[in-house]
Amino acid sequence: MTAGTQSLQSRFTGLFLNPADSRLYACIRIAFALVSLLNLIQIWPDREIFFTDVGMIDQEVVRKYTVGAYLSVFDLCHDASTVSTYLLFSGCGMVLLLLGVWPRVAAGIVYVWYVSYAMRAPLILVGWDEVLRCTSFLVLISPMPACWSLRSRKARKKSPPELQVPCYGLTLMKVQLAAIYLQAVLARLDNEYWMSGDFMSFFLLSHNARWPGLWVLNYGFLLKGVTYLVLLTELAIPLLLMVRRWRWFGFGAGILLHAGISLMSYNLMLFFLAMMTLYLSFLQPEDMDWLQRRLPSKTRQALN
Amino acid sequence: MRAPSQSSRKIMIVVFASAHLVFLLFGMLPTRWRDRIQVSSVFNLYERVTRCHQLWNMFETIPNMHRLEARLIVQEGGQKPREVGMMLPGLRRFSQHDQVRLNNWMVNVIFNPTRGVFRESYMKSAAEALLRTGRYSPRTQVSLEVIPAYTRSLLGVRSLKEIAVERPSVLGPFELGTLVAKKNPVQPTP
Repeated sequence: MTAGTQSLQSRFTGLFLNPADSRLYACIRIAFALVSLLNLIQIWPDREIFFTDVGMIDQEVVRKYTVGAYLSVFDLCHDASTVSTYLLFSGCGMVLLLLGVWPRVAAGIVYVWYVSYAMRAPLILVGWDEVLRCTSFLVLISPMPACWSLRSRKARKKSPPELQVPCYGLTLMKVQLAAIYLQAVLARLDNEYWMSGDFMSFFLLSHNARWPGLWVLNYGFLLKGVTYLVLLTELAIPLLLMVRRWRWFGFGAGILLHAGISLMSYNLMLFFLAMMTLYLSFLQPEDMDWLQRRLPSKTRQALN
Repeated sequence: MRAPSQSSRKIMIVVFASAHLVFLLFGMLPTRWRDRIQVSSVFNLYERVTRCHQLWNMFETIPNMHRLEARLIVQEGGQKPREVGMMLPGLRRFSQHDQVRLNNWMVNVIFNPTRGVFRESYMKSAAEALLRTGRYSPRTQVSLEVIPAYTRSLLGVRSLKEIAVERPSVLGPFELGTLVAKKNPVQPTP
C-alpha cells in the first residue's frame, strides 16, 4: 500500500475513530432528552386523539397502508389508559437518558417511542418529529461515556468515565444537519415562488404566520430579499459550522434563522430546539471547558 | 485477547458509520432526484430499516392556506342543522392555530385525494361517536364541512385588499346508521 493510500485511509477512518471529548456526547444526550420530554409534553394532551381506537386515526387502516412491516408499541395500546402508560414509560426513558442512568437502554426506549408514534399516526407528524427520530437513532448508536451522569460514588471509583471516545457519532450528526439544510435548499430550486422571491410574503399571509395581515404587502421588496437570504443562510450554515474558526458565525446564523422562524410562526419552537440539538455536535472541547467554568462550583464538582 | 476485540470493534464502527455516512450524503438529494438514481431502492430499504427518513422538504411548496375551519353538520329529519366539533373523541372543536398536528391531519387526509380510506374510517368513527352521545338516531344525517381560505395572488391581495378566498367543501351527507353498519361506506372526496 502506498503512503498516499495509507494517509487517505487513515484520514477516512479518522472521521469516525479520532478521539472526541466525551462531554460533547453528554451535552447532546442531555439536550436531546430535554427536547424529547418537551415534545412528549406537547403530545400528551392529544394522546387520545392520535393514538386510541376512539381517536382520529384508525390503527387498522394505518397498518394496511404502511409500507413495510408495521412495528409500533401502539399495536398493544388501544385505550386511553394503555396509551397514557406507554407515554409515561417513554417519558421515564427520557428522564433516564437525561440523567445518564442506563443510557443505552434509555436511548433505545426513546428511539422505539419515536418509531412507534410515527408508525401509529403518520398523518400528524411535523418537521421536528423527523429531526428528533433521526437524532434518536444517532444518539442510540453513539458512544455513551459515563460523563455528566448520575452514578453512585462506588460505580465511579470502579470505572472512572472515559475522557475521550470515538467521534463517529458526532461526525454523523454533523452530516445529518448538513443533509437537512442542503436537501431543503435543493428541493426548492425549481419552485417558482422561492425563485421569484415571493415565498416569504406568502408565508407571512398563511396560517403558519403569527401576524398575518395586509401589512405584508408594504414590505414586498424586503421580503424578496429575506427569501433569498434564507436560501443562502441554509446553504452557508453547514459550511460555516464545519470550519472550526467560523463555527460561531454558523451558530449565530442558525440561531438567528430558527429564532426568526419561531418568532414569525405559530408552534415552531420545538423545531428550533430539535435543530439546536444537532448543532451541539459542532462544539469543541474548549467550548465545553468554557461552559464548565461558568457552572456553579457545586455543579462543577459533581460533574467532575 | 483484548487487542483483536478492540480492532474488530473499530472495524465494525468504520463499516457501519461509513454506510450511514453514504446514506446521509445520498439523503442530501431531494426525493425526485434520488428516485432517478439506480441505487435508490437500496437507499429506501436502509431508510425503512433504520426509520431515518430523509425527507427535508420544509416549505418546499408555497404555503397558500390562510386559514382552515372544519366541523360536522348533523341534521335530524326536518330539524335545523347543528354544528358539532369534529375532533374525536369528545366531538370537540378544531383550532388550526393551537393544534398544529391536527392541522397536518386535515391537510394529509381531507385535501389529499389519495387518502380516501382515512376519510372513510374517520366518518365511521365520527358516526359512532355521535350515536354514543344518545342524542341522535341512526337515521340522522351527518356531513363534514371543511372551509379552507386560500391566499390570493399578491396582485389580487393588493387590488382587492382581501387576503384569502374561501372554497368550502362538504363530505356527505350520510346516515349515521349506514356509516356505522357498512364496512367501507364513504366514496366521494370533498
